Amino acid sequence: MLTEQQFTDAAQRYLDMVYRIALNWFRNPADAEDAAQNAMLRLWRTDTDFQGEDHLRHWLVRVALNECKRMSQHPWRKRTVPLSECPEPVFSDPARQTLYQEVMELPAKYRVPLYLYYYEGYKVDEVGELLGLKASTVQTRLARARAKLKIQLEEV
Amino acid sequence: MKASYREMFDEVRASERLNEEVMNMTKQERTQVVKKVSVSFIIAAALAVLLAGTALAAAIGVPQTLQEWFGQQWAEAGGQEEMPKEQAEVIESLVQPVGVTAIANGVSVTLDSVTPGEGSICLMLKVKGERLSGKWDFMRTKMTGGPMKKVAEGPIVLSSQWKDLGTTEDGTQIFLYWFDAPKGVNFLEGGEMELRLQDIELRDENPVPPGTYPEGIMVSADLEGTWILPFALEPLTDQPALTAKSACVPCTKWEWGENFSNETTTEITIDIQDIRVTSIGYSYLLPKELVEFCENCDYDRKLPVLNLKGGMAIEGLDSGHDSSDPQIKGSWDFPVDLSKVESIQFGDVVVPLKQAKK
Repeated sequence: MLTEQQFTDAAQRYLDMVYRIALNWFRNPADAEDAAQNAMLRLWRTDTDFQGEDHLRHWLVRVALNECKRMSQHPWRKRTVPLSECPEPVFSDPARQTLYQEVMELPAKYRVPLYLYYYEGYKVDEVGELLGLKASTVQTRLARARAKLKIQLEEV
Repeated sequence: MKASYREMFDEVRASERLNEEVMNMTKQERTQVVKKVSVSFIIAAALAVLLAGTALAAAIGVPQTLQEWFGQQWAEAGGQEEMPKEQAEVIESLVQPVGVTAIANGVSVTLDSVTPGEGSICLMLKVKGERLSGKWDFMRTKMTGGPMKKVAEGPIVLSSQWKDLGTTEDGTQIFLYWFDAPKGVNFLEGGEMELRLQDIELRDENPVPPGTYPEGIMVSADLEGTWILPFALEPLTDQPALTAKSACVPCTKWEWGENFSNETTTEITIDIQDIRVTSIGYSYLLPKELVEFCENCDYDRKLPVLNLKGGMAIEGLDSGHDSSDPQIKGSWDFPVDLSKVESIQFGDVVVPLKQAKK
């Protein structure tokens, strides 16, 4: 189990990541906050013996995705966070606002791999493993996401 | 990678409220096992108790019968508060109560009821077990008997899906389990059937460390057991299916060059054949080019929408498609009164259907 300090450090480092994953999943800040909160609670309660920073990060990504899937499957889940307390992101640059809206208009099946690949830096096969998809499917979805966004994203 | 995408998400942060909530988690006691009953469920269950016996309770609580579930889907699809008599009769005529229970290794599984259709069967299962406190799945499922006897023995890849409908106050988990019928199988024919569920996988929340990536999520200790649920499927006569011989419908074609360069999308139309609409689902045949493997292209089909008299529209669900199979199958959220169906729509293309005769 993580100590209080370890958990606090992990939360400071990774809460935004967990929230962004959930936001890409749900598109809705309130649902994303619910999922992120649940995922961090699992981190607080887990007795996993993490073998380093990479392990913890990967674990959290996994749990965040599992939490999103679990919440998506429950048709009668009640939101625990009032909508009024979950505002949409506000950006310093109108172009980023526009880009955010364009990204959020993509289907979730494109948004999530796009985020994991281009922001979190996972490789195609790693994204596939996280999402339970074949690498070819991930490549297809990334290609479609790029095409839909009409942005030239450079291959790493 | 594109800087603008990263810079944009750099500005997407968790709210102060969420930060505070998470930091306060260290004040909570930890338990080894995450409690199965979440706060949100408690709220829902309390409301259900308060409103017990009323239609509203049935509308918002965990559905305990297939009829209740279908009623909720009807309401969600924008149906009137009072479901028309003919629609309710269609649901009633197709839902068959079963009530068979099997117990193994401290887990009881009850097959509550089934809804057979020409192309698929929907089962409501109720599962209870003290050790089922996290995410879990049955590891093996098999449906045999009745119309399934026509299918050759051996490994059969069946398209099926689970849907978690929620957990009741006493901890019973309620699921829908959809099976798509293999070719040549029509569940409306009825017969003595058996659903066999074997072993439970308790999903491990501890993923594999980086560097080793076996397929799927790491499996931790299972609950061994076999739950055998025999049931007699009554032969049924559904309303006559609605059909259309063919239609030219919209589809998006994606093409790309090497290394995913020069991606293009083109809105095309495709000729689909043998469109068939039943009370619980639909099917049609794809043209050849969508079935043959294409290395640098793929297609996005439109999901159908069923248009009913009075303006109600029901979106179709895709059952998951083997890309080498020209037949597309899917289902509706609830058994539909076909006498109220006007057309099926793909994108902007409305396809009239031959009306069912009573």
